[in-house]
Amino acid sequence: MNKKTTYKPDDIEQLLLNKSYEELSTSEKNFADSQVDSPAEYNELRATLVSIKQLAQEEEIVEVSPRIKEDLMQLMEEKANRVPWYTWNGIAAFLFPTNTPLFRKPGLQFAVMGLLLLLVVNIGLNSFDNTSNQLAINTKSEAKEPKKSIETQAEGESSFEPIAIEEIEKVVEEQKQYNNGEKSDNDIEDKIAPPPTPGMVEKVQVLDDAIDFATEENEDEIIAPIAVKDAKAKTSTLSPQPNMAKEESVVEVQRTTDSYNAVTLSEVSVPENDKSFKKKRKTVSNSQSLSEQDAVIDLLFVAL
Amino acid sequence: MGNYSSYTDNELMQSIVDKDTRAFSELYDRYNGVLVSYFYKMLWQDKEKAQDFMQDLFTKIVEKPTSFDLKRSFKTWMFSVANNMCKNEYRKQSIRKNTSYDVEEGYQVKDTAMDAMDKLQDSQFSEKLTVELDKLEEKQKSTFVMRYFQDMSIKEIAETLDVSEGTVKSRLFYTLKKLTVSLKDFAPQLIKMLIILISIIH
Repeated sequence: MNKKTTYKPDDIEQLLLNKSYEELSTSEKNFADSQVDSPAEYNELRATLVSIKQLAQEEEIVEVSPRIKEDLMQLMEEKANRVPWYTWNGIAAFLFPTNTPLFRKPGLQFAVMGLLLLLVVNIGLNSFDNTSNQLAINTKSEAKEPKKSIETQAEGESSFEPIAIEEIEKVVEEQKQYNNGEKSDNDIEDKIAPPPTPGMVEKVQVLDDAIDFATEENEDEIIAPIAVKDAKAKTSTLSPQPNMAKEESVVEVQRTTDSYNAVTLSEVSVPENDKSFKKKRKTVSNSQSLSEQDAVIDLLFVAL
Repeated sequence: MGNYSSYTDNELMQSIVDKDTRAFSELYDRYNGVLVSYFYKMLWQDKEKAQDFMQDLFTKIVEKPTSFDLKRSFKTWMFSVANNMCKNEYRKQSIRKNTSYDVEEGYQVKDTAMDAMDKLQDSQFSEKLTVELDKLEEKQKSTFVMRYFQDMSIKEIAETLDVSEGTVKSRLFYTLKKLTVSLKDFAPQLIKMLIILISIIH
């Protein structure tokens, strides 16, 4: 029918409710024709709308149980009697007012500001103090490590430290005395070695030779028991002694070396300028170190 | 305290925020019937469900009255909450079953043993209208129910559904057209008009 140019359902609703198509004025008919396809459709719409309105007015009222109101009122009273925590604190009430949205609560705003400030300060400090932090870390690590090692050593081996110092001092003193001529070889011998037994002198001589031989080969090295073994083997092949037993075990040699190395000093009497004497002096010191090698070296190592 | 019946809805809500139980009582008395009726129409004429939903809505008001913005109209806010509750229920029902709450199941058949012819026609028309309303889309249905069963203005409906007034008007008109087609044979007013017309002619 007519082409719909305007669309005003609110207005057409009023027409539909109040007038039939026949009752409409010319202008109203024109308007109604723009909204509906035919007068019949208008009347159908009107009939439906009037029926619905009438039905809505006559509609049965749904009865609400009084129990619902009782429950709700009880809930409301409980809520009213509940004392919130912030009423005890005026500051908290200011920070978290009830009637404002969450983002407008000053408490939340302060918290966010504080967090942001903390982040900014933290980031700023980190960006400016990178190098100093690094240095601080380095010095700390350097300073701490030796302390730790000393502490741990002291803790673990504190009982050995005084002994080691005493031993070192003793050896140094003896060396000084010896150099100054205050002490003779005999003094040292008396102090260190037990009195020699008659049958052992020859053995000691052989051992002494063996040690000399060994020290000639490697003067700077401390004679280890193994080196003594080698020296003994060499001496036994080069200059066999008739007084001694032929079957000398390595263990025996070692034992005798440990026990009587100091005796060699008494047996040897050579002028001071003699080269071999110097060697023998070294041998003495080496032999001393042999006797106390294990303990003294370990203690020195620990002390250092 | 003053006479609460003279209070506006928003004044009552402000009093409820301040934990005034009598203000809540007054607000409940004003809106419980309207809300139950709306839920009843929207939720397949299930009286129990309508009452439960109404109770839930008022419980929300008790628990969190600050969720209502005092600058808004309480009525439109309340109906928008109610409408959202209905939407959620539709969604729940559609997930549970395609049409678990079938229109025919949910509908309570009225007393058909009425003597008067028009009452019978009215009843049939009401049944058919209910069926056809339930067939509508949620938006059309809520708009139509608010307009013709809750007597809400176009402006109030627009505020409640957060749409323009033009959208409300177009929805109403198209819904009316749709219902007219489907209710053609049941419109009692049309029949009455025809009867009157025939009697006048005779």
